[in-house]
Amino acid sequence: MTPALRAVVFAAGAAPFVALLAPWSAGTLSQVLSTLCHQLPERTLTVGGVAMVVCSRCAGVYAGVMLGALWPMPVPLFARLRPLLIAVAALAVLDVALQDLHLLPVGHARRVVTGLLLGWAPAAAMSRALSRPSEAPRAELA
Amino acid sequence: MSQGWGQGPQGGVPQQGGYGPPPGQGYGPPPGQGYGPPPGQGYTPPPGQGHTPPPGQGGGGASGGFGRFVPGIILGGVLSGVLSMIPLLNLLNCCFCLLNVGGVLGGLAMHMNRAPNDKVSMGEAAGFGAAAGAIGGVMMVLGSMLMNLALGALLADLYRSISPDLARQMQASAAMSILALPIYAVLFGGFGALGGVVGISVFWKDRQPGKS
Repeated sequence: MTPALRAVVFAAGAAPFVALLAPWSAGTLSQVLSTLCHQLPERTLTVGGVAMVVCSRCAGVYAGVMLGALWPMPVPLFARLRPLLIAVAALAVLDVALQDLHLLPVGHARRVVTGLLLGWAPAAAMSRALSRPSEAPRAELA
Repeated sequence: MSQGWGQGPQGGVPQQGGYGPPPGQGYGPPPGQGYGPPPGQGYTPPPGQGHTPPPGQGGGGASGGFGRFVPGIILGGVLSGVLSMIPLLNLLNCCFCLLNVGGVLGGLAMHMNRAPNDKVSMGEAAGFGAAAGAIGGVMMVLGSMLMNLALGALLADLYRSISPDLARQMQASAAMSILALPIYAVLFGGFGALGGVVGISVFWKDRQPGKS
């Protein structure tokens, strides 16, 4: 079950990037991902002149999920998983709030980074938990 | 026939010089110098560092087997699918697949309440979330198609009156839903797995194996 789980999570994270690599699939993926992302053009990254099928924050989330499925979380971070998950979620919510209250401009770099952390943390924690027993300490009570 | 195998004058175990150890020189350890650890110096793992089975690979559940999660998985999938097909409410899925993750957490909560002594490892929680999420994704697509079928007759005339192209687009999107079914299953399954990880880490951290 372990490799299959990581493969499913990786595939979920790779979905918007498949649309970039295989343009013939962009239409279907764009429609599917429209149920999971607002896809506003002004908040969407363009890669090589082609607009992505998700916004920049979602692109960060999906990239983080993909990376987390590939590389397990470092042990010291895994030992502090609960506060880490709360922190990355709080960071993303704070960025959304500040941006939508017009206290900060729409910045792709900031959106990508907060999204990346939000997607990476749970995916990398899952990979760590599913890795070898010698590398799989339990998350300590925090 | 009176002397069988090994019972003749030269058969069987020799009377002397046999295979046993010489008297007083047996193969056991010398008295007081056995092979066990010296008293008080034997190996015991440090507290909290003993070997435990890897998460998600057995040993975690009080009643064993992934099958114990089936009712929770079904409930989580139904919750995820039904919530995700409600118009306007489904916009919450734009925020880290929130309704899907919520459905998974609902199913996990039901399991935790049904089996208060069950320990759930993070790997099991991820598997739980993946299964519930995949069911939710499939349910959402099928439910949306049923809703389109039910409302399609009512809406078809409206779409045609607005624009024939719009009516054709609606038909095409309904057909595409079938093609997209496996993509939804993978997306919802993947995010459901992450929902299970978040749930067991944040809400039920004490219910992991090795935690009191």
